[in-house]
Amino acid sequence: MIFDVEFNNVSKVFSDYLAVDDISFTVPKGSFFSLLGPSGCGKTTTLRMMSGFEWPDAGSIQIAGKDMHGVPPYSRPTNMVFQRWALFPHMTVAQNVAFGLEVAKRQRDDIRQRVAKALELVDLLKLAERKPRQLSGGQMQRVALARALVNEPAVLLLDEPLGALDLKLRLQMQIELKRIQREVGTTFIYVTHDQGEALTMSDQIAVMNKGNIDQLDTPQAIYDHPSTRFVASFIGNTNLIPVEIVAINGETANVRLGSQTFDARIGQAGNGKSGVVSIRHERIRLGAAAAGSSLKAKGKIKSAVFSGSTVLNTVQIEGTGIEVSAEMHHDGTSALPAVGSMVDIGWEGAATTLFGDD
Amino acid sequence: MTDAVAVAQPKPQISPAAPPMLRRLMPWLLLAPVLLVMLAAFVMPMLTFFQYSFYSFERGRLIEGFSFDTYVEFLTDPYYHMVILDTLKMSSITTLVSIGIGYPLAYALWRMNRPSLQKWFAVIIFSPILVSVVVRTYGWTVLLSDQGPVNWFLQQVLLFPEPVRLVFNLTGVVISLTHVFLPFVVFPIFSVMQRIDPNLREAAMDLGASWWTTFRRITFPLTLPGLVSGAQIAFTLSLGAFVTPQILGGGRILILPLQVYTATTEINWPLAAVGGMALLVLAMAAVLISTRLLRFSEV
Repeated sequence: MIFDVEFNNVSKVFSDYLAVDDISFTVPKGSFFSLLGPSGCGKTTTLRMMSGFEWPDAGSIQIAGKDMHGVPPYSRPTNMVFQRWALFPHMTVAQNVAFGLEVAKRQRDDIRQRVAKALELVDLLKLAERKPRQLSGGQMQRVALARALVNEPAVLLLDEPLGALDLKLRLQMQIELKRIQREVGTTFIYVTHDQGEALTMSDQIAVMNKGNIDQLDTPQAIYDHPSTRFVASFIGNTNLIPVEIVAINGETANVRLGSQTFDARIGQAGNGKSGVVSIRHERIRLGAAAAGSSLKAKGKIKSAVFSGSTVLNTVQIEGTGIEVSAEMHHDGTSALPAVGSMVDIGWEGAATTLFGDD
Repeated sequence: MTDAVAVAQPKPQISPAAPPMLRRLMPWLLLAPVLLVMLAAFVMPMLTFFQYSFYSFERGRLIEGFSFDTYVEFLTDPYYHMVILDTLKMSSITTLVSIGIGYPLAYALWRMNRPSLQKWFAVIIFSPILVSVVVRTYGWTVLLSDQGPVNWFLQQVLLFPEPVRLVFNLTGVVISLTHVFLPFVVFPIFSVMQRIDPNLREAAMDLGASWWTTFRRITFPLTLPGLVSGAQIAFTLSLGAFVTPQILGGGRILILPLQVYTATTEINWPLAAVGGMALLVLAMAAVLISTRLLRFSEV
């Protein structure tokens, strides 16, 4: 497999604070790779080290097979789509897109053709003569994308490019970005704090936390099998339920909640006698669906919040005092559970992951 | 892919209610004192001046009758041509030198990127304005004189064979005017620079542009409005400069304000008025040109 980006033990320090802490990873050529994490986790610094605006204080970075030590941003085989797009306000859309090609001293005819092709790719051919201030947010975003892609970089860097758009446009652009990435086949490195974006578009996600990569895997693996407590709670809606560890058998652990036990997958077990298991809101079953689960209990409905396609119930598990959130699909016919009523609750052990106490 | 398109709405049946009387009057009430002062101290004198420019002056006597005599004299006499050209020359050179020094200074101040340091440099750039014009000008005559420290440096360190004439000519006037106009040039440019999205420079570099290309194609065009307004201020201020050319010019710099002054001492009011009109026309032309340039350089 050919890798377009390789990080080897890279660290970055800002005066007194370690922004990136000894990370190593590789990105396969032609893949859509996301750096996901909360603000301050080091994801933007990691991206800026690829673009050349920051340089590692330790370790080495290779892009498209070449070591990037001492290579300035303008000589790198990367192009960036900035957070607020950073379009040149005094140039038209076409001039913005042509900028990189002009700087590279391409033939005039060649430039015209490539600009037209890039604008067609993002469906903006008709607005080529507009100035950025005459464009909507979504259109500016597409200009920024065309301006970067027209240079045919080995790696395209995207720094939360959808952050400033409204929700509906954001969802539309996610599909669009994925389509464009497939069409051009360029390696995309996508920085975001929005797990939805990362899960939707990525081939691989690196979840970052405090300058480290907690987990690097496919979206589904990250969602279904979080490897740390941070990943479990940062991605998706998760319950963290305190349990007692009864026995550890290889990949799974037998844990006790109240009077019942079940087998949980081991994520990152501590060495104590207690821990927490994580379980997604939608993996908890209520009512008739709970029959036959590996954990079965009674619970009291504390609240039921309707939000369209789903209903979020808070249920107190009888005999433990623990409250969990359970998301139920709303089919449009059934009534909401009454607050205060008792209900069957259960889940499969395979849906849970055990982490140590922290 | 479609973005939201504004749908034409039917005309509303009701019209917006007028705001209360006091609220409508308030801006005018607040403006009233300024408007009155402007009327008494600017508009009226200008009109009187305009009227005087059509009188004539013969053998030491003012003749209060409508005539173009003074205008004709002013526009045909080669002496006044020289005065006008000297005025334009002094103002243009001062403007060019101010911009030439002020733009890099503003750029340096901008790129310094340390607010505390920026503040101190801003105070230093601003300092010439804090000193009285007479004191400042005499200070320059001392500094720039044949035996002054500048000439000492030129002769002793740079081995100039003779002292360079820096005072009582155009050079001295330009140096002193540039000194005091610098803040008027630096700050408009600096404030425009500060409004530039810092990502733009990074974006240009990311797209392969070197420092020079980034400056030429991004930073400079975007700071042009600041440059034009700085130049306009420097030019119009130079046109009106009086004390500096008077003292540092040593009688060799004959510019319009000095001509107006000389005419008034001879109680030749019509000639003074025409000179004033010429200054006004030059200043208005400068404003007009820079307004056109601003529109051209607008984003």
